[in-house]
Amino acid sequence: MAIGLEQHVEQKSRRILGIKARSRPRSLAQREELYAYLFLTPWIIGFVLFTAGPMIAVFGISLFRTNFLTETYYVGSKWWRAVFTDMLVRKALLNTLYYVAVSVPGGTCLAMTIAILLNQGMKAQSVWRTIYFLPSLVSGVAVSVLWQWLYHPDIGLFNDLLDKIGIVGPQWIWSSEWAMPSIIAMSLWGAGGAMLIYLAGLRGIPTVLYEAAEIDGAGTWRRFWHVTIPMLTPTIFFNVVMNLIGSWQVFTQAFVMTEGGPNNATLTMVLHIYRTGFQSTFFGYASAQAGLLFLVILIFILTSLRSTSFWVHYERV
Amino acid sequence: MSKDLSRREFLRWSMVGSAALVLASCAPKPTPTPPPKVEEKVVEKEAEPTKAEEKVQLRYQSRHGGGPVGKRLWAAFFEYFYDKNPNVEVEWLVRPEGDQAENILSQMVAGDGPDVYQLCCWQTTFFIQQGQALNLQPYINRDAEEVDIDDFYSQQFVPWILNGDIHFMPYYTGTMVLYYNKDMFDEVGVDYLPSEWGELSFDEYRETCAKFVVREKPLRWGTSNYGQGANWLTQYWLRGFGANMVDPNDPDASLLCKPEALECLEHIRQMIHEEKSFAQGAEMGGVGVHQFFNNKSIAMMEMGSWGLSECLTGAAHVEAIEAPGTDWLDFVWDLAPMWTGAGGKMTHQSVDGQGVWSQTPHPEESWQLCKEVASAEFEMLNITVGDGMQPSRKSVMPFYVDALRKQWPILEEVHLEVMAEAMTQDIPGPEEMFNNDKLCKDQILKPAFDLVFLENKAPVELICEHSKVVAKFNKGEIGVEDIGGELAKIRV
Amino acid sequence: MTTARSPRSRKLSYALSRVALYVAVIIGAIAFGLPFVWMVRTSVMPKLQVYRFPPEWIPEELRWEFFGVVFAPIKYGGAVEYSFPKWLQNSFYLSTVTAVGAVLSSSLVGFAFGRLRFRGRDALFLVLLSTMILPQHVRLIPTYLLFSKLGWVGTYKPLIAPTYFAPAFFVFLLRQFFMQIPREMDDAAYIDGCSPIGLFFRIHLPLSLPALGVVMIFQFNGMWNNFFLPLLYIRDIAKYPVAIGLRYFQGRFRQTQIQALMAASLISLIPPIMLFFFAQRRMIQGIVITGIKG
Repeated sequence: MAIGLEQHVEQKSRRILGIKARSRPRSLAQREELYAYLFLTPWIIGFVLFTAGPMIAVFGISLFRTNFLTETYYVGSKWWRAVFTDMLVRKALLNTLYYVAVSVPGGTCLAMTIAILLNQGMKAQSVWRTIYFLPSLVSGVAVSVLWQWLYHPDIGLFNDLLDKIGIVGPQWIWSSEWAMPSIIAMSLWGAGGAMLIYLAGLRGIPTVLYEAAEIDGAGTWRRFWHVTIPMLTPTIFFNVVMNLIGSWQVFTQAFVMTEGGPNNATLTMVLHIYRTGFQSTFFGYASAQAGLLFLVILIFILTSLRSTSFWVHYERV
Repeated sequence: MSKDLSRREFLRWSMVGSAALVLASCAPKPTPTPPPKVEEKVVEKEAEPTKAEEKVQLRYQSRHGGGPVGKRLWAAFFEYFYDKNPNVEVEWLVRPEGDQAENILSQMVAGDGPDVYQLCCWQTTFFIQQGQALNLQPYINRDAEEVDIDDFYSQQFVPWILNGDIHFMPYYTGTMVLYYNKDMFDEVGVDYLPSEWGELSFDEYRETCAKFVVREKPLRWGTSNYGQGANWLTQYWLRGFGANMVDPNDPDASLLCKPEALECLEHIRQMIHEEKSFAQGAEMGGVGVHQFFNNKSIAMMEMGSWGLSECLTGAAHVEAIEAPGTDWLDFVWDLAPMWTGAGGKMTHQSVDGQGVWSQTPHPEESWQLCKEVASAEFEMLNITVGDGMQPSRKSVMPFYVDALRKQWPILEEVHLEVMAEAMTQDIPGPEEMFNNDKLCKDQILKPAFDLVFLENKAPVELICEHSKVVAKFNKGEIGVEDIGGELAKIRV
Repeated sequence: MTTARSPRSRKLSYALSRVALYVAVIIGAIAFGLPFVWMVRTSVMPKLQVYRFPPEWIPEELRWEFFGVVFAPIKYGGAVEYSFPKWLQNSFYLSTVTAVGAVLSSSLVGFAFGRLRFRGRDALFLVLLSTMILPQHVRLIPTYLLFSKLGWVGTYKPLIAPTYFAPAFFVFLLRQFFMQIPREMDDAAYIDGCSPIGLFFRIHLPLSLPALGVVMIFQFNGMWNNFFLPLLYIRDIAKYPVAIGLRYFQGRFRQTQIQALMAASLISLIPPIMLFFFAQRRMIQGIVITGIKG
C-alpha cells in the first residue's frame, strides 16, 4: 500500500506538471561519459595529490616496526596477525561498536525528529533552529570543560538536578558503566549538524507531491509517512553513512575527558591507535590497527550501499 | 561540440574558474606570504650589514610564555640574549596549552625539528629515549662555571639522565606543598599545620583530613590533588612511605609490589572511599582542585608553586584580565610542607625543561640558547617581568620570595619559605619515569588504578599484579600486542 | 475519501498539536541551550562564584572585562602586534575561501556521481567514501611529510588546497541531493539540446541551493573550528585562526581564566551563528521546488 500510494502521487504530480517521460538518445550517453570524467577531474587530481599517497603509506607502514626516528625494519604480516589476537584491540573494537550501535540510530532519529518539528512553520522558527544548531558549533576545550562540570558526580549540574527530584545520580564519567553512555549523550547533543542536512532535505521535497496527496485525501500522518519519509531517504542514507564513518572514529571525548577509562571502558579504536603510535611509538602496529578499522568500516559502508535498493528512493539514474 | 558549449556557458565557466583561482591566491591582509622567520627583537638593533648573512637561524619551540606577560618576558630575555650572541636569530614559537609533542615529532620526522624545544613531564624523557635530545653533558662540562650545576636543585636532572649524561636543562621548578584554609581550621578547631619540613607525620595528616569531612550537601573533604592514579601524584605519596612506582635502579621495572607500596596505596584507597577525606579526581571533573579549594569544599590541597596565581588577584600572567579587589579568596590561607612518612621527607618537583634537537645543524648556538634559558638571569627576569614561576636555582630563590611579597603584600603572612626550604634541603624528587613511560602508565597500570581508586572495585593487590607486567614488557618477554592478554589473565 | 469531521473538532485537534509542538520544542531547546546559558553566565561572573555548589545562575555582579580583555591587542615591543580581531580576520579568510572552494568543486564532482552515467561510477564512489575512513592520526605523519616536501608548512596552503579538490563528505552530500531531482528534467533538457554542462548550470545548481547552503555552512564552520590542522601547519602567531587563538587564554591547567575562555568561545561563535541564521533563512527556507514546466 505504501509504494502504491507513493507512485500514485508521483504520477499525479507529473500529470499536473505536464512532464512526459522520454528516453535518451544513445550518442548522448557516450558523450555523457566524457563529460562525467571532466566533472570528476577536481576530485581525481586531489585524490592523486593529497589523499592516495598517505593512504597507501599507512598500509605500507603497517608492514614495518618503526618509530619513524631511529628504527625501522620489516616485519611483514606480524602486526596484522597481532591485531586479531590483541585483547586490547578487541576491547577497543567492542567499545567503539557499543558507541556506534547507540549513537548512530539515536543521533539519526533525534536529528530527523528535530528537523521535522522545526519545519512546521512555527513562530521564530529561525531562532529555534539556531538554538538547536549551536551545540554542534562549539568545539574544543570549552566543550570538555563544560561537560566535565555537568557530569561531575559531586558538584555538577546533572546530579544537582537529579538530587532535586530525589534521585542519587551515578558517577557518570568516573564509572565504567556510565562512562560510555555519558560520551554517547554528549554526541547526541551535537545533533544539530545533521538536523541542518535534514532541513535542506525537507526543503528539497517538491510541494507538488504534498498537494497531490492532499487532493487524494491523505491526512497529516499519511502525508508524512508516504511523502516525507520516502523523499527524505537519500538524506537519511547520507546521514547514516556519515554517522557510521564518524562514530567509528570517535576520539576527542575519550581522549580529553575520560582518557580511555575508567578501566578502558571508553577506550575507542582511534584512541588506542593514537596511543600505540604517538605515545608508544609503534607506528607500524598503529597503522595495522587503523587498517583493521578501515576494513570494519568498509564492510559497514558496503552493507549500507547494498541495502539502498531496498529502502532508499532515488530518481533512477 | 560547439553547440554544447555555448558562449554564455563558457564565460560563466571561466569566470567561476578564475574567481576560484584569484581567491585561492589571495593573501590575507595585511600580511603577505611571509618568510618563515619572525624577528623577535625589541630594540632596533644596529646589526652590521655584512654580518646579516652569517646569522644563525634557530627555532625555539616554547611551552610557556604565551599571553601578554609572556611576551614581555621574552622581549626582555631576547634583548639580553642577542647582546651575548649577536650572530644568532631566534624564531620563538608559542604553543597554547602546551600541546605539542605530536607536532614536534612530525617536524622531526620531516627533518625539520625545532633546534631548541621545551617540554614537560613524560614528554621530556620520551624524546630523550627516542634519541632526539642532544647529549648536553660535554657542553655542561665545558661551560661548567657559567652553568654552575650545583646551583640547581640536585634532583632536577634525574629524569633527564641517560647513560650518565644530562640531556635537558631546567626551565623552572615547582615544589608541591600543602595549601590550607586557616579559617576552616579555626572553625573545626584544628591547629595550624607546622611550617618546618619533617614535622607533620602522615598519621597526623590523615587525622586532620578526617576532621573536615561532611557527608551531606554541600559535601566537604579534607584534602585533594589533581587525581591519584598511575601518575606523578601517587608517586610522591609512595615516596613518603619509602616506596617507589619506578625502580630507581631499573627503569624497566616497578616496585609497586613491595609491602610499603601496598600499604600506601591502601591508605589512599581508604581515604578516598571509606573515610571520604580525600576528594578524588578533582581534576578529572574538569572542575579543578583549585575550585574545590576556592569553594571551601576542601580544607587543604596538595598543589605546586604554579598554583599560587590561582589564589592571588592580579597575578602576573593574568594581570590583563583580573580586576583588583573582589576576587581575593575570602579566607585566610597559608602554605605548609608536605607530610613526612616512613620514607622521610618528600615532595614533588616538576619536570619542565628545554633540550636541543639531536639533529640540529647548529648545536653550539642551540646550546647557548638552552643554557641561557636555564641561567640565573632568565630566572630573575621570569620573577620580575614574567610569569613569576619558581626558579630552579637555589641562589635565585630568595629573590623569588621577596618579589612575590612585594607584588602581593598578602603573602607576608604566607610561609613561602616552605618552597625554598625544599630546594635547599634537596628534598626528593621529580617524576619517576619508566622506559616506555606512557605506555606503562596508561596501558598497563592505569586500568588497575581506575578500578581501585576511582571505582573501589578491586583491592590494591591488583595494582601489584599489573605492575609485574611492566617489567615483562620492558624486558621483552611479551610484545606490545600481548599486553591485553597478560592483563586479562590476572586474578586477584 | 475525505474523513468527515466537524470544523470545531478539526480546529481543536490542530490547536492541540500546535501546543504539543511548542512544548516539545521548548523542552528540547532548554536541554540543548542549557550548557550555553552556563557558558554565558560563567563569562561574566566573579571567579569565586563560578564553581560554587549548588551552581548559581545569577552573577553577583556583572564582570564585563573578560570580553574586553579578549579584544585587547597584544603588543610585543611595538614590533609585532597581534590580537584577537586579527585572529578573527584570519578565520574569516580561511573559512570563506575554503567554503567557496568546497561548494565549487564538490558540486561538480557530486553532479557527476549523482547524475551522469559512466563506467566505474560505483567503484569510484566506493573509493571516494573510503578516503574518509582512515583516521587522521594515522595519516598525520605521511601527510605532514607530503606537505613538508611541497614546502607548504608555515602557510595556509595545507588547509585551503584540499578543499578545492572536492572533499568527499560534500561530494557525497551533494550526490544525494542531485539524485533526488526528477529524471524528467534531465530528459527535457537534453531534448532541448542541453549538454551536461548546461544541465548542471541551468537546472541542477539552482535547484540544489539548499544543499549548497549546507555545504557552505559546514565547510565554513568546519574550518572555523578546526584546531588540529592549524596547530600543525601554522607557526606564526599573527596567522593563527581563532580556534587556536582561543587557547591562548588558557593557563597551564584548564581551570585558570575560565571566564576569559568562555568569553572568547562565545565571541568566536558569533560569525558562524550569523552565517547559519542568514543562510538558513535565504537558502534553506526560501527555496521551494515547484518543478519546471515543459
